[in-house]
Amino acid sequence: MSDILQHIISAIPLVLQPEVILFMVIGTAVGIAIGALPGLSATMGIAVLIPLTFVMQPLTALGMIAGIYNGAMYGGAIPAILLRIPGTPAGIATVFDGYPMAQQGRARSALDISLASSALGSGVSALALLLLAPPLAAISLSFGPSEYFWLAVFGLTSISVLLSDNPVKGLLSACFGLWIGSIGIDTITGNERFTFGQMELLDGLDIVMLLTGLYAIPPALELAEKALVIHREQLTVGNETEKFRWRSLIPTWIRSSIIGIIVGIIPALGGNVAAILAWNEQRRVDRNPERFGKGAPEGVAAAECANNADTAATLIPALTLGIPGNAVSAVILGALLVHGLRPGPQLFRDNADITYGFMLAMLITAVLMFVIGRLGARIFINVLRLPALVLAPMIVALTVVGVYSINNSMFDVWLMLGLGAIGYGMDKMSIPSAPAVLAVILGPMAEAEFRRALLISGGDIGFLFGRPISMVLIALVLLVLLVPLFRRLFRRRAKEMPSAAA
Amino acid sequence: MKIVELATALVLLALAGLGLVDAVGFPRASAYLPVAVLGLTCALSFAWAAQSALAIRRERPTLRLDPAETRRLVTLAMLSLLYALGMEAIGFFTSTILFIPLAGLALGYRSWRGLAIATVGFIAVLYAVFGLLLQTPLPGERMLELIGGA
Repeated sequence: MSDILQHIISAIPLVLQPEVILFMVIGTAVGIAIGALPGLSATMGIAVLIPLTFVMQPLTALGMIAGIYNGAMYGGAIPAILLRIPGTPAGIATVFDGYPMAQQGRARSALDISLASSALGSGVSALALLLLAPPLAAISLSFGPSEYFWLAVFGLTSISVLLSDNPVKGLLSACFGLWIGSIGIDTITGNERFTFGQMELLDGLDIVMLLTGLYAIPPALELAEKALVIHREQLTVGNETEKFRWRSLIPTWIRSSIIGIIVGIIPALGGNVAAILAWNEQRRVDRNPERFGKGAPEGVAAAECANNADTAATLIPALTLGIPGNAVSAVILGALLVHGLRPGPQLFRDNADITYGFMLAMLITAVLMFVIGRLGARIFINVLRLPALVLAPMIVALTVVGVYSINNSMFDVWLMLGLGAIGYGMDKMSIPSAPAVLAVILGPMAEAEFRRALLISGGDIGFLFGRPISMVLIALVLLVLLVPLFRRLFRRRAKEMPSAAA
Repeated sequence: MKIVELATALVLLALAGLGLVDAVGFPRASAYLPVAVLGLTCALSFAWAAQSALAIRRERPTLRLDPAETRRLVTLAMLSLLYALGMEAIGFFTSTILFIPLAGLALGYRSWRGLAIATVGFIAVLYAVFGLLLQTPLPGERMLELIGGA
């Protein structure tokens, strides 16, 4: 514990540098704006801006990313409350009570409650990250090659199977990522793999192309496709604030923060699940559950607190084990790689200052989000009026120039656009893209550890099954593979129950 | 959509099969991962194709597309490709100055004032970030070169 405190104390001056604070402020403001725009998400915001962070110091870049992540989670509440359209998937449960509050002329109160609850959830989540991640990383430092191999397999299997309704699609996405990860010169044998005679592919496919292609281009195309138009009169908030006993929300915040953190740690769930569970739980424990769905402030507080409590918590397995639980943490891992930081327990040992600085940035941006959200409330509401039909080509242009600027290469631009088309197709066919990104990160690690294990054991494949932690991980992989069967059973039983009752 | 899924699964199966043939020829240590991954891709693509075929047989789905949405999607996709080509041919800023208002208009946005403000503001931000702050060498502006040359 003293070690953790020591690292936190030494990271504080780094994270409080003026440049880092400036980019945290910019990131938070951009994040709120992105989250407020229906169809855009934190994942897309980070993916578009990653190329711009190349020239920044790692902590400055990560501070900005922390701001975007936290800010976008709150930003999603603005259209959820005012327009009944969640800005991000995590804002879905905010609609339940937020929109009725707005219809009753209480939009300002709903926005205030959502802002305070979001900031609080993010803050608690960042504290959980700071306290839980280092011990977990310390434990996983004792892992050998076989454990790392199975850990990578577990991470890939769980996100592929749990993130999609159809495990075949999730696993196909992972295979696509593993194939992309194998492109280039094999560092051990020096053999070229799938380079198709292209010099540009010898070093492999840069993860930035994949991230921007899969996460920035599809939302831009969908913005143009849907062409959502929002009029000024739809954004009336009013100036009156109702008197409200903030203290009454404390139990809601505590409950929802815990739910958000637990959901965040579990792979493949995400902010929308956290928000719905917290909203449901709040309704269950309330003395008048019939108020919910009709404009109960506690409903807004529960949903917003939980979806923000999910943010930093998803980074616990991502930073310590290199296993992101959802798309946005996979993109953040990609951003770490861009800055030469390989996710996993060694991150806490080899780059402690930056890692602790990033975790502190998650905490600081939670506070910044409250301040910026209060000061810029009107601006963020007006962001909703930005025309989607102009915004879409702007996203394309920003992505193209961002990718070009990394290596001054048009090949990268074409590659990114190609991956963008694939990403759009994947979205339309309900194929999750997060397993592909995760596979690009974990694939090379799994392959290297597999080979190392074989080298140590003199080619004996049984070595992979010899250690107790490996056996636990194998059991977890098998359990995850059985989840679709359980799901089917539950669904069948749920279908049979009403007919039996009848 | 199931029809598209079936077609995609079959294309994927063929591509993964070709990749597998290529991967089998790699030296042994280099081949472990690609062979395993592409073998699995073949099996999964086959399963996906079978799922889609069964769904088509069960539901007889038809592919319904909203003409306006499809038009906007194709427009932006095509203009984005032209933009990337133009960036190389006539320079980054020139092609962006053309791309933003043209794409906005082609997609159906009709406020000239809005388009002008958005284009000028966007170009100013891009210039500030890439030209002044990051000092990134971007594809040269042919128009400026012509004026300079003359």
